[in-house]
Amino acid sequence: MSAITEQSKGFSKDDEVILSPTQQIIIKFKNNKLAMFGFWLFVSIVSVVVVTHFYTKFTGYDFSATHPELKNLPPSWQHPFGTDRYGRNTFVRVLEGGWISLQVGFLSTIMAVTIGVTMGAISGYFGGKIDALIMRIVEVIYSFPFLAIAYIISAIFRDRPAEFRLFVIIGILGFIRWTGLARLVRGQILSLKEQEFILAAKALGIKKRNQIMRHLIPNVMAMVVVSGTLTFANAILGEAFLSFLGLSVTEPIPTWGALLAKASSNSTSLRSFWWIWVFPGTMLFMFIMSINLIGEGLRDAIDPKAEFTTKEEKKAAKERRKAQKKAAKEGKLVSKGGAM
Amino acid sequence: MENNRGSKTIFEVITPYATYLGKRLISIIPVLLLISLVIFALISMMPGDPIMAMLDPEKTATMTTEERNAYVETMRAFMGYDKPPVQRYFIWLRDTFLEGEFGYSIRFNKPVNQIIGGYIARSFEVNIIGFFFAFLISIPIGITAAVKKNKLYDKTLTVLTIVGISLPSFFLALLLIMLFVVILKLLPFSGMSDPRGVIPDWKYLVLPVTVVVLTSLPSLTRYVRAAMIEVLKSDYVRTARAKGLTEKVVIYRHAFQNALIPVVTLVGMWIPALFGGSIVVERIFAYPGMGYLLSEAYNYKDRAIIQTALLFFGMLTLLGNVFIDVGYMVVDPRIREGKVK
Repeated sequence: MSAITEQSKGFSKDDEVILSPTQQIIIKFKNNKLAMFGFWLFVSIVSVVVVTHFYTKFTGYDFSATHPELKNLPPSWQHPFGTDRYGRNTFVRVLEGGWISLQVGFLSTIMAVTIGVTMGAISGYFGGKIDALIMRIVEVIYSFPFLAIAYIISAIFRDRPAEFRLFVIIGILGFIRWTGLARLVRGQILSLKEQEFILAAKALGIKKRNQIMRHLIPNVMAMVVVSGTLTFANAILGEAFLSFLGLSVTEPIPTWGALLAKASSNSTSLRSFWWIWVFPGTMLFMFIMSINLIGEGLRDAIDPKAEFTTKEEKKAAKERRKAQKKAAKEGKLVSKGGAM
Repeated sequence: MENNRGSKTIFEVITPYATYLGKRLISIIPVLLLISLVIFALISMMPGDPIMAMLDPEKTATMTTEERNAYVETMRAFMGYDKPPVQRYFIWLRDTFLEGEFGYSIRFNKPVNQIIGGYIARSFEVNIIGFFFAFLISIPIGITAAVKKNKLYDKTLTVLTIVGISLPSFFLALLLIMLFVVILKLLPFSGMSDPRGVIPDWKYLVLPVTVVVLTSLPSLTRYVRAAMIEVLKSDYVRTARAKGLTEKVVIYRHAFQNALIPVVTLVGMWIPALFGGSIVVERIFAYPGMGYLLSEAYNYKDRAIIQTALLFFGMLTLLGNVFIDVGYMVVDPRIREGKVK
């Protein structure tokens, strides 16, 4: 152990490098190829979608404009994703469809995380009756079949304008998805509040609100971020489900789920006009995958028990494992503790 | 196990579980009431007059306005919509929980309890087969991945499971239809039986079951892998190895049994899905299960069915939670001893 640390010290310019937890997480994340692939995939999809949205907004692109002469064209250079049965360019519609997903994903995740962390922190910190009450509420909300309830709520607002319905959907997704996070935060805070630093905070007479906000919540933030990526992916999936069932934002505004739904009604359109559903489906899949890859990378990165942080340490760990194997092969008894 | 308990009869062994089960079942009653209230309130807010939706146009076409109004009023009284909402809620509660009457479906013109059973059974059929295969496949590959942690096999599997989790079920269903129905022409497109009787019924089950397997497989595999990794780190596994047991015995006899404990949680979480089916998947395949029934009920504004189905889903989720708690008690000796004695 000591030899390796000294070696890595030798590589760095300063003699003593102490990495903050955040720095460690960033380094570990950057060394994870899969996570970085997810990160760049995410960044590129988001930037293409955002650029398309503002480009079409400022050039006044009309999503409802139909061109009967360009009906159902297969992909070509002019229409990379082909055209639909009204002669509309699927390429632009697919990219614009991502804008709705992005909005729903970001806003409902922010909502779910805010409610979840607040409720979880209050519940875990105060305990007793407040805890029992909040956990009962969580149980009730958790017991609702998400899609079915979203279906009804969306049906109630069926006649409202599309913008309004979008916010209804964001509200539903945000409100239904906070329960898991609340449970997670509560569990963490229950164990954290017994630790010495909170005792110290109490002894110093720090206000309860500040104990929670400044001392407890920062300690659960890493877990919240990981769990937030999951919420984000689920929110986008949820919106896609709803728009697939025709309950989200409706025509002429495109969404991935609605674009997919068009082709699913019969096998002729499924085969003949494959470009109409394959492209939005692939975009949705890649986007969700990029988020999941990021979440997976973050989960590994925040693990404090990880064997290594920097590249040098990773190399050393590999060498060590090789040596261990070799030693085992040679029949020498290598105890686990010694090798570590 | 029974020998250790000596003179205890089976009845004595079961009693603590039964008491705990009873306590947990009683504790879900207030939650269930709250859920029913929310469902009722939401459905009351749905637009449209349910009586108008159930009028038979052929029957009312020849009526005069007065006859029609009188007819509407009798129907309204028959369905109970002439009473105020609060009273209707309590009538609904009484009928549902005490008399087992779930209301009258305007879509089928039958009481709900006559039709709902078949739909539940069909959803159950698809899901139980699907989950069976998902378990069968995921347990061995999850264990292998945990044993070969950080090796190529494990890394490939990790990537594959992330891909699997990210694939939306309806996109997966469309891809499968494209492959097996449109290109290979092996399976029928949708439905559950051939009206001409040419295609055997099981062929209609293949695609819905495949979707269930493929969508539950990735998360289940990850779960088994994580549980197994956790167990392999534990002291008793080290002890077992130190005793000189072979790797096979260590993994399958000592580690695996304990790795199964968290899997109980998954089974509990699956109970709603097991009977409930998936709205989207059943709709794509036009498979007449609970999800399909529910989506049809939305289209016809069939409130009795929506209410019953939602309450059913809510109850299953709560029962799933009870199952998790009781299951842990049965499976995990630490919890069992702590609770029982």
